[in-house]
Amino acid sequence: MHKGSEKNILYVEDEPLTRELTVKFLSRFFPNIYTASDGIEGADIFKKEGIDILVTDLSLPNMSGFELIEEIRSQTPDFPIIVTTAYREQAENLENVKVVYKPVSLAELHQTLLEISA
Amino acid sequence: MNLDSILQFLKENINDLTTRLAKVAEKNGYFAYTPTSMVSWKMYVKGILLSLEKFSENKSPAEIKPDADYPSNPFEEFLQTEVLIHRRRGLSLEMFLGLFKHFKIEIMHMLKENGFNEKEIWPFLLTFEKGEITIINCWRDKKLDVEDSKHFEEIRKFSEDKNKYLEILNSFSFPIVFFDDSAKPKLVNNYAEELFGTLDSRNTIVYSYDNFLLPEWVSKLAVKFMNEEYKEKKEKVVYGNNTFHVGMKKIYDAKGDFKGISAIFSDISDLEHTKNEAEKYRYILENSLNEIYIFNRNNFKFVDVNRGARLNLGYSLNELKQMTPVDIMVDFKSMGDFRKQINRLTTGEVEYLVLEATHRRKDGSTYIAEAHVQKMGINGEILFVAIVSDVTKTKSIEKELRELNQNLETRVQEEMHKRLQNEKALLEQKKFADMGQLISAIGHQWRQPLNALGLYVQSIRFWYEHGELTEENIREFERESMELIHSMSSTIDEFRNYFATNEKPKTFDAIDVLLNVINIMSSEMAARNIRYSLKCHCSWKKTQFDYEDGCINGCEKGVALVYGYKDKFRQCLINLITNSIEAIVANNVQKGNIKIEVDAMNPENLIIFIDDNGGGVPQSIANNIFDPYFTTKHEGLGTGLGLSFVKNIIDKHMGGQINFRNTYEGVTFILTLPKKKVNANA
Repeated sequence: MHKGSEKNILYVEDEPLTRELTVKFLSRFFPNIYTASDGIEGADIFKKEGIDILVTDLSLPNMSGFELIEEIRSQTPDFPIIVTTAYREQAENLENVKVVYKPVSLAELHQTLLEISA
Repeated sequence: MNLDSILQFLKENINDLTTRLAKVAEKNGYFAYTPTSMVSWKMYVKGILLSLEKFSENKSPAEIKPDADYPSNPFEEFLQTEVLIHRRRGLSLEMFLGLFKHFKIEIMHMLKENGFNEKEIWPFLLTFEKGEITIINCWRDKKLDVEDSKHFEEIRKFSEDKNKYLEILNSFSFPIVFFDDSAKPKLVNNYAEELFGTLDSRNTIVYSYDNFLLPEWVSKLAVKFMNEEYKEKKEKVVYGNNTFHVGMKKIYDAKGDFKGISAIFSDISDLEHTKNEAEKYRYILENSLNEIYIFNRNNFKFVDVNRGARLNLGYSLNELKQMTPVDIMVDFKSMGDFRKQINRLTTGEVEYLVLEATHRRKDGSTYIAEAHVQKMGINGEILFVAIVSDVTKTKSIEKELRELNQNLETRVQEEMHKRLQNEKALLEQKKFADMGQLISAIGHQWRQPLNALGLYVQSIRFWYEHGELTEENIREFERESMELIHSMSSTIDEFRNYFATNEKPKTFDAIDVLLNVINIMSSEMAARNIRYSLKCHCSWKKTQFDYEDGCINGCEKGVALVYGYKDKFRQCLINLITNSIEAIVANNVQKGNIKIEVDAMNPENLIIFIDDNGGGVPQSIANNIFDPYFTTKHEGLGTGLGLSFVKNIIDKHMGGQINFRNTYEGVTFILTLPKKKVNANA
């Protein structure tokens, strides 16, 4: 149950309360977690830090989650990505991503991260 | 110069000349031996002039001499014949010569009276003197003496008788001609002479009595009749433009011997013309496809019914003559009914009647007829004339049209009903669409707070399991959760306002609403240290409000009346002011200021300016600020409905306009609303 990973995780979420609560939970299992509140900040961190896994919302100010994913995938096509979104139809257009729908189940997000980092 | 000018003059004045000569003859007692009718005299004068004309042709005045011997002298020939005739009538040479001299003198008088001089008249006198010699020579011819002496008395008597008969014949006002037993004209009365003289334009010298100027056809007619077996004959003869009715009768003496022919002519040209015209019109009427009925004024029996009517009805004219209009018009139950209608014509109440009636044919079938009946006087007889059209086709077309119209009406009503139904359905659809929009908009707004709430709920168990569930955690959980719940609740309110349709439009005072909004928002503005003011320009008075004084002084009521949705309008103002507040806060403006000005001076529109110093609208989004769901705020903070809602209300529900312009420090929103006019008496 209390499993985790040392992998570097980037979590992009514009809603502060959601970001705060989610990170508070995930950091117990994944100590190396970075956060960003919009796409540009996310892309910035991604370039600077050696990120292994991306967890992102799709609807983001300044630079959307789609754009961020596109940019990362253009460098590394198989980069592991988890999308958290409330809009199923949006996520369905993305290939080769794991999706955790909002309202987010923390257990589901934990399990998905474990699977992807294995 | 010859006799031309004189003869021309005399010919032109032949009537005058004839009268003068006849008077001279009468005065000197010659009428016992000459005809007395002016027509005969005119013929005689015409003969003199024509023979003179022929004589003088191609002759110079110098050539005309009394003793000259001409190879041919028409004037002399004319005179010789006249001598012969007058000798037989019993005139003496002295008498005839005297008459001739009288004529000569009379003509000379006439010429002088009319401006001819002696020199001009001279050749004429010479000619006449030559004529006198001719008369004397001719009269003294021995042959004539011998021939005439035997019958002299008899001839003279006969001439007198002939003159008597002529007088009688001349008293008839129609042309009469007597032919002798060889069908040569023997007696011609004035009318005949005049008529045939006028008809015949042959330029022939006319000798008195013996040579009647009769057209050839008249003589031929007599010859033809003479050789026929009939004793009497009536014939119609067309001569030129004239038509004659000729009644001829053979004359027999006591012994039964054929003595001649009497012929009475009547010029029936006018009658013929009238008849032809009548025939023509009759033909037109008879063959017209309009039905024409003529019926008696008393018993209403048909007098005449044209072919068109007979064909349609199937009755013969003889059958119809025994019938009345009531017999064919189904609509009239009795003669009395019909008479009542016709009386309107008889009394002159109406000039014509239009009767629409069903006509029954002989075979029992019917047709719809429209009759125009008129009273007419024909040859002094009062008749009714009905011109009838078979309007069965028209009627059936009318009926079709009527039915079509009725169908159309029904169809229009159906279509209207359908349209109403459609509109209803559309309205329903719109309601559903609105509802769908509402749900989707609320859903969109609720996603994040719902997600956050979910995370909180899950966190509680997590914290508890890890022994981290402190009182502080619990309080934080409650506070944050309630905030999220309030946010979600207010989202519902906001969208409900936007989609609400139950508010009724009414007239309200925009100033009242502005004051109300300022009152509501004053505490929030005060809390953020934002200064606000309201200026109303009406009747050149200024009223200013600020956060210290929220009441109205000296402002005239009713200058800012507008028509529309008061609550929605209030929401608009709240949205706009809220935007200003948020902009001021977001841009950390230290001395926030919101100025509201109302221009009530314009008679048509009320203009409201909402001005702030919150930094203005960035150029990049200036074109999008009124788009629905467009927001500059992070998700969850703004619905993006604010300005689109405001524009929608101002445009659609208030009939006004909303514009904005960036100022040095911020932005000014300008609302233009049509004023609701107040009745001056109210």
